[in-house]
Order: sequence, then structure tokens, then C-alpha cells
Amino acid sequence: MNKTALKVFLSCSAVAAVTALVLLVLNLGGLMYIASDNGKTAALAYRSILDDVSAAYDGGGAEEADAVALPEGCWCILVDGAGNVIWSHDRPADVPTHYTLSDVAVLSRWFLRDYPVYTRTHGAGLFILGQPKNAVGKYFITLSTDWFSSLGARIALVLALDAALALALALVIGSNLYKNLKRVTAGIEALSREESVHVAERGMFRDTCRQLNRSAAALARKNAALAERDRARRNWVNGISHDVRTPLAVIMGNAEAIGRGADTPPDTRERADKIVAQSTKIGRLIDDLDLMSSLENDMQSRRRERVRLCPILREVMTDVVNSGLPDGFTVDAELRDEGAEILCDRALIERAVFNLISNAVRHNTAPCAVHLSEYAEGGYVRVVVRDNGQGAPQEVLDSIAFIPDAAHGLGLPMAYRIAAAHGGQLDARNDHGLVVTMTLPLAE
Amino acid sequence: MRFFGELRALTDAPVIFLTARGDDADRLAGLGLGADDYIVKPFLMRELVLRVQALLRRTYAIAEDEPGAALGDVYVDFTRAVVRRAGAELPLTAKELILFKKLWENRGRIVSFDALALAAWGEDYYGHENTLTVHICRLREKIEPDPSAPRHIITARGLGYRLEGAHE
Repeated sequence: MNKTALKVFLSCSAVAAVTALVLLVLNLGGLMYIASDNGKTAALAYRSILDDVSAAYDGGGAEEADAVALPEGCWCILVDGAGNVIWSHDRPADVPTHYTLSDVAVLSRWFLRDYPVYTRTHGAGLFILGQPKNAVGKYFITLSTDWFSSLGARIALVLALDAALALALALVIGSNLYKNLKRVTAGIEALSREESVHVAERGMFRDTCRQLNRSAAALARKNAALAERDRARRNWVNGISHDVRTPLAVIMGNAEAIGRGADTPPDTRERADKIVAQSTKIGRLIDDLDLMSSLENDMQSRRRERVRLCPILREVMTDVVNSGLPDGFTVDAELRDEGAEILCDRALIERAVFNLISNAVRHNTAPCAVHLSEYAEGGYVRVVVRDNGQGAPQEVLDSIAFIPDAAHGLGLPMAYRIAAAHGGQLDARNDHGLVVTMTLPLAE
Repeated sequence: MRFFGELRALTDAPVIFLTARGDDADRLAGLGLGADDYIVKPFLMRELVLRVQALLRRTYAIAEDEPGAALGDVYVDFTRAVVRRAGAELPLTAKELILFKKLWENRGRIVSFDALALAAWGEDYYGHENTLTVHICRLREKIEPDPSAPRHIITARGLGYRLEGAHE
């Protein structure tokens, strides 16, 4: 399962569900606030007017009560115990002047001839304050005590249902998002692995998929161009190398023949030896060039085999010693993990180790001791080549990862690339001489 | 390569490839065809001569004609597998003889533990390192005047052994 898309799906679903619930609770509270406030305020205002009229009537009788200002369209009457109107203010003509007990019972809760009315008891009877017709609505709600006692549980149930609904909706929307997102992230992941990518251009991320496909196509084109350029360069290097080797062999052969001739004068012999030595050097440079070119271009296609490292190390060191060490140089080996096995191109590892040892011999002056050690540690095997010579300049240590501009000085960069090509690394430092550590992963 | 095929149809004579193609793939292709050696240009004439000699020795078993090896006042008789010293004869085991011959063929040069063990026990030599040490000790007892201070079979620390003091 695509982990990134799943994470996005889960987080989006959780956020959507929580947001939906919060909005629901906020809206419910807002609705209750709007619904409850206005009605109460209006009713209280009219009851206050009735209080004022009643107080005025108590204080100064009918005249005083007449002076109380009523809102526009409103009227007020006082009905005595017998049901007769004994005082009125702006009473409409269709409002009766006599009331029975049942009239009072009806109007006290509902309307009087379609006028919304409010009542207030008084010692002289009952004050009735009327508003214009259709000014307000009146609804009579009766709630049992059971309704109040179970209100909390019912609110909780509604909230739970809402939560379930929100979650279900989030899942449905999230699943759709997940499917679309998975397609996009799978495409991006394939792109990072430099695989061929074509994502179906549909769904909510259609534009993104289209851009992804275009990017993948552009990358594929660039990779193909790079591969073609590398192939051309490799062929060119191969061709040059091939063409140089044959005349060089002729030069070397003739120089060697002249040098070893029985009647060759000593100075000619010396010159011939120099030609042989320099030709040999050119031959090595061509080898290096070939190998570097191969490392740059063909590393993926090189064959790997599972081998024990120690025999390779011994073989290389033995070859170096048998080729003849300069006077005053010694080499020795301390190989601690005989069983260490690596997955490698054997020739390349041999070459890397050879470079490290021959560097130590070539760049130091006698007396000099070269020590090679090997040990396994945490899934890796380390090969350390240490000498007690003069060490390497800091700029050389800082640039082991880069191919030098000149053909010489390839030893460390080549070993670095070989180690990297095998999933390992190469570190070089000065410590009473040069210490180079090559770390390679052990074969599983 | 076609020429090589035609040549092989006519004779089994040993063949060395001298070529300017030095890629691993080329080397493998050449050796895979059945070439006895593969030398990439440029090369030293002396190296070519030595390789030809080695190839002739291997192919026509010249080395087998060597009756023995003189090592100071010690003589190792290959045909009878004995060491002659001060008029006495000490027998060599088969493994001791193989190890000595390997050292003798490379006298003056270090022979790695691996090359010695490979000669004595074949491809599955891993694990025989201690046995090799024991055989070399016994060989020293038979060859060296003072086995605790060897003069002929010298240890190259961590690498292998080198045969010194040979008189051909």
C-alpha cells in the first residue's frame, strides 16, 4: 500500500470529520441563539408598557393612563370584574366593549379578534394591550418533564449520529482522494526510481497527472540523450585507447630491443630504458583512462560475484611485493576477518586496493612501512591502508571524490569510485602518514 | 577470433592473444575462446618472453622433468619425494611435496597462503589455513638447519611464504 497517500487520506479524513462536527455544534448553538432571543425581547417590551399603564392608572386614574404613549397601532383597554370595558385608549371599533369569562380565557393566550394581545391583572380589573393585526405569531408549546429528563441523552444520540455521518462522508470522499493521490504518488515514486512513467489523466488530479507525464517524458528524453552521449564518449575513449596501444607497443618493443642489444653504447641503452619506462607509464595511463571511462558508463552492466575479500587483499599485496619494492620499503598485512565476503567485481576491487598500496609506495620516500588491515564491523568490512610517510596534501584529501584535470593522480579518485560503485565509501586522512579506509558492504 | 577458430582446427598448439583491446569483456571473450594467455598492448618484450616460457613449461610439462631442487646443503628429490640432508633421507608427504614444489616454482617470490592452499587442497581450501601452517612447520623441520630461525622458507607476515637460498 502507498504509505504517503494513506497518511494523507487518514489525516484529511480526521480533519474533515472533526471540522464537520465543530461546524455542526456551532450552527446548533447559533440557531438556538437566534430563535430564542427576539421573541423574548418583544414580549418583555409590551409587558413593560402594560406595567407603565397600570402604574399611571393607579396614580392618576384614567386621565393619567391616557397620557402613557403607546407604540404605533397599539391600543389598550381595562375590563372590570363584570366583563365591561371601563377605560380604553385607541380601541379599534371592532374590539368589543364587553367580555365573558371564556372570551378572557381565549384572549389571555391567543388573539382578540385577530389582534395579538398581552394582559396584566389590576385591582380594578384586567388590562389588555393589543398590537396591530398580524404583528406577531403565537405558538403554544407544551413539553412533558420526561422530555426534559431525556434531553441530554437525545442530544448525545444526535451528535453520535452526526459524528458517524461525518466520518462516513469523510471516508467516502477520502477514499476517492486516496485513489487519486495514490496514482500520483506512485508516478512520482517511479519517476524517482527513473522508471518509465505514465499516469492515467483522470480524476481530481488530472492536471497534476498530465504535468507528471510530461515531466517523465522530458526526463526520459534527457536520460536517453545522456546515455547516447556517454556511449559516444565511451566509444571515443575506446577507439583512442585502441589506436594508441599498437604504436606504443612498437615503440616499447624497439626501445627494449635497442636497450638490450649487445653492442648498444651505455648512453643509448640509458635513453632506450627511459623510452621503455615512459612508454610503460603511458600504457598505465591508458589503462586508467579505460577503467575510469568504464566506471562512469558501464558500472551497472558489470558482473558481480560473491568472493572472500582476504585472498584478494593478499594477492594484490603479494603482487606489489613480488614486483619489487624500492629499498627501505616494507609492507605487511593484518587480516582479522578471514570469512568476510563481499559482492563485487573482483578485478575492480583488486585495482582499488592496488591503487592504495602503490600510492603509498610511489608517493613516499624510504624508509617507509605500509600496513594493510582488514576487519568486519556492523555489516561492513573495512580495508585500511596506512603508511608512516609524509601524508598527502590537504587539497588531495579534499578532492578524492573528483576526477583530476590531469591524467596523473587518478589512484584515489578511482578507488573512491570503485568503492562507491559497490555501495561503499572511501575516506582518506593524514595521521603520521596517510591513512585510507575503504568500507564495503558485506554480502548478505 | 575467426582466425583463432581456424587455427584451433589445425593444431592444439598454445595460443597467446596480443591485442590492443584491454576491456574485461574482451579479455573474457579471448580466454573464453580457449586462448592460453591474453596480453594487452603495450607490453614489455621480457614479459612476453617470460609468459611464453611459462606457457611452454605448463603445456609441455618441462617442470616435470626437473628431478629436484638444491637448497643450500639440502636437496629435495621430486621424483622420490624425499629430502636429502647430511647423507640422510627424510620422506615428504604428498601435501608437503606439493607445497614445496609451489614454492620452488616461484622461488624468490612471495606465494600467498591462498595460492599454496589452492595448490594443496583445490578450490575448497577455505578453512585449511591452520593445516597449512602445520605442513609448513613440518617442511621446515625437514629442510631448515634451524627451523626456529628459518633461512629458506621465509614468512611474509600476513601474506604467505617465500623460498630463499635456492641454487639451481
